[in-house]
Amino acid sequence: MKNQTIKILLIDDEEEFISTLAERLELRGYLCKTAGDGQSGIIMIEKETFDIAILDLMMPGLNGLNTLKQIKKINPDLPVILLTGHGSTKDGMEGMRIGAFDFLIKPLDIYALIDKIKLAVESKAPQEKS
Amino acid sequence: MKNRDDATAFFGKVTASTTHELQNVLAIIKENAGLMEDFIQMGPENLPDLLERITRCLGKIKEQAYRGVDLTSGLNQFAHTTDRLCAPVNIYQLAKRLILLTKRVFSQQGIQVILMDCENSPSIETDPVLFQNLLWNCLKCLSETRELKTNIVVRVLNSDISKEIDICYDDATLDTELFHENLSGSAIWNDIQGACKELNLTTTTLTPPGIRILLPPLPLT
Amino acid sequence: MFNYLKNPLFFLQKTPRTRYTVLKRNITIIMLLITIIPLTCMLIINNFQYKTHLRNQIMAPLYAMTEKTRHSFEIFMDQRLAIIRFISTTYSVENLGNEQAIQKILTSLKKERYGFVDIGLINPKGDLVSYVGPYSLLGKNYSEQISFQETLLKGQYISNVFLGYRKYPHIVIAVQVLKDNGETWVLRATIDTDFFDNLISSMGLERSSDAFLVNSDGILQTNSLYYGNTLENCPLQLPSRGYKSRGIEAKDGNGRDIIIVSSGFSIADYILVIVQPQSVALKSWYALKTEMIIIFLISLTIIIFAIVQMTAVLIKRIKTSDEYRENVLIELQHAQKLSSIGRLAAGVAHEINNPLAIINEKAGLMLDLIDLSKDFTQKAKFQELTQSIVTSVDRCRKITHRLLGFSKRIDVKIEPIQINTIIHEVIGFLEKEILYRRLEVNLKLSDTLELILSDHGQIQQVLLNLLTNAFAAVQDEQGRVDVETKSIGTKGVEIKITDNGCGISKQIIKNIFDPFFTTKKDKGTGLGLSISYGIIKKLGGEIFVDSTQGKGSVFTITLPEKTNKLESENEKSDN
Repeated sequence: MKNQTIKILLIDDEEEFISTLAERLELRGYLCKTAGDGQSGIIMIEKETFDIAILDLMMPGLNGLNTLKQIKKINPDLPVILLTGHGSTKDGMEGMRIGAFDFLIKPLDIYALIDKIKLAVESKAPQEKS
Repeated sequence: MKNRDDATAFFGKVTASTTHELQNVLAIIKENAGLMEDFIQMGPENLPDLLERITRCLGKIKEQAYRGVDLTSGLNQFAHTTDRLCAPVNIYQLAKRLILLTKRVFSQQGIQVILMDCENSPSIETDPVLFQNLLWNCLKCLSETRELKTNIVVRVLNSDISKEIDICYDDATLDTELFHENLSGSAIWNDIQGACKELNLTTTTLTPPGIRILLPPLPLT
Repeated sequence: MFNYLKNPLFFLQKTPRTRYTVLKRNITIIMLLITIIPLTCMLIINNFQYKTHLRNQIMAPLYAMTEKTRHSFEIFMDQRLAIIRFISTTYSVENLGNEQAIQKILTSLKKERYGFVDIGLINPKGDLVSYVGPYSLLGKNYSEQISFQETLLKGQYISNVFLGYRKYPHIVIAVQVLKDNGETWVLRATIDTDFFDNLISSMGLERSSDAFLVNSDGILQTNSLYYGNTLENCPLQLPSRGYKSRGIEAKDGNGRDIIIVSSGFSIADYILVIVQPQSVALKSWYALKTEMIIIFLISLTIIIFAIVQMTAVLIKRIKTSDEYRENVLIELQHAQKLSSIGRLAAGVAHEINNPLAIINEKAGLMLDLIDLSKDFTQKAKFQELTQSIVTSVDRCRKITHRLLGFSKRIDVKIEPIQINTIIHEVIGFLEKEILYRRLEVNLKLSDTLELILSDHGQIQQVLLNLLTNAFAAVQDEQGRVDVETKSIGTKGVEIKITDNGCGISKQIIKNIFDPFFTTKKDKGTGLGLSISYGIIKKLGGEIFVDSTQGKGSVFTITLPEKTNKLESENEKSDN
């Protein structure tokens, strides 16, 4: 099944949030790994392959947008979905410009997220095949 | 000066009120969580419909979480209106947000403030804080000058001829004359007039009893 | 200088009305004194100087004229004497004794219009042995007469006026004749006094002026216009006799103020007197004096009017300006207050988002689990998830609690407060930023910090401002901010905020508390520090800064035990 092969990297400094989200996604058949900040997320991307990354924009240290830029440098094909708070839709749109696939506002509607994940992976898929 | 004083007090009040509401939201979530704890403790053995009950609690929790986010995002936007002394303001959005944030204040008085839909909201360049304070004063004025609690209706009108925002009672049978009389001597009406003067707006009274604020035409771009 | 300028900026009048009234009064008085005293001094000095000067100027011509006229008189008399002397030396006594000869001499003299009326010869015994003239004096003895005696003594003699032929005034002149045999004869002649009047009228005096001759006994020798006729007593008190002209000011019998100039003859017992009314003599002085006084009074009026008006306008302007400045400051404070609430509310809204998102996820997961297995097998798991929800809720509560506290303290309220608590609150607000940017924040708060009586909200505002600035000055990762509090005996508490940021240069540090001064190019209104300064001053405290560019800054605040509502205390402590 396609779902089982989809490997997601979740990068967010809120441990409680990201671990629960990971669990919910795993219940739905995705493989999830988490990173607590931008830097460790990038290291994981370098080491392992992921189908999609979900990145929180408001993080300490290497913040969301900068992390995105780095990711795009290392692995430009990796689709990234951004998570923002209510006041940061600007950043979300800026992220799209830099190359994010899409963005969602927290708190999440999990079904909306799953739809976007599917879209992102499908848009990448033809390339993989070729 | 008085306008600024009032605006600051108004800001404090709205922020406090919204924060109270948030705390209510959190309280509800906590209660439901507590309830769930109890249910889980009791177990399916003692509660045959355990899962349904838990589902209900969770539903409420989710509902409140979204409500909380609505409040905080409204509060955030409200807070940002202090950024500039003059900015373009979408009247409908501003009214919507203000009504959301002050719902609790009026509901405590037994009054509901209803905002009518508006498809084409006018925008004006003004001092957002003072304008919000003005709108708040109009709502307050109507809520105070009436013994029996009646709902208040807010309508934003945008036509070629005029742009205005109406704040009036949701009861056509009320006596306009009496309303005008009560209004003219009151301190709050003075504040409203003062604010209008500072913002270069005109205000009139309405039938059914209410206040109309006439908005200036858009600046030529 | 810096302090002196700061104080008027933040000065709040406690009783505005009296302050301006006092100021107005003081300025008016000082300005009036400054302008009127010199003017008056000048007036007085000028008065004296002009008086003296003019006096001299006026007297001088009078003196000159008197001298000249006296001189003319003396020349005239001398001339007549010379003639007689010439006759006495040219003609022998025998000749002079001859009636026919003496008659011939008189006739010649008369032809020349010297004024001679008669001529006579007196022998050494004093007998008039030869005479020609209208009187019957022949044979009269003069040995007892002063004229004879004086002639013998002095060689010549000029008499005073007497009423002679036809009751006209005449004088007698006599000269000594020395014969070869040593006998002393006297040749005498009578002269009319027409020349007196001629000389006097030739002086060309004004109508109100009077000139006449008197002798040393005060007997008029000519007619005076106002003071009597010839041979009457002159009522005036004359200046002391001397050969040079002397002048005095006096009052005459009619009460007129007059100037009397007199000059004594050396050749005979005559004094030439000129009397001029002071009004005439000093006419120009009086005119000048009047003019000066008029100018003075007009100037005085203009000065007083101008000063009073200008002061009124000035004070009004100051008052308006003060009020305007005060209003502007209050507006600024409002703006800043609002802006800080705004920032906080926005910060809170942000922060709450995450916990709410967490709550949502947890609840979502629980629902998923319920969906997945209809049997309740996940008791522990559910408990754990529910607990996390509760924890998140608590987290939210703390945040909203902070915001509530802040929004309720919008109004000023003086109450006992613990500075350390406020510092914790403010750090709480900035917690996210500290975390995000990985800043080091050290709190060295005194355990024994006294409570002070002040306004919680405003102090919170100031500390928020200073800490925000400190955070803005330092860099991510390396930034360090220390906050220290300690009691300073009876004077209150001291708060020190130190950062290792970019510091403030020597030029800029002077202006750092000025309104609208900012070094942040795009962000910020530049209001923060000036408002903070104003708040601290109003609460009775002090705020100062020390900084080294590139190294960091230290802001020190001191707050008194009790906030003073009387701003004058504040001023005094600054001066």
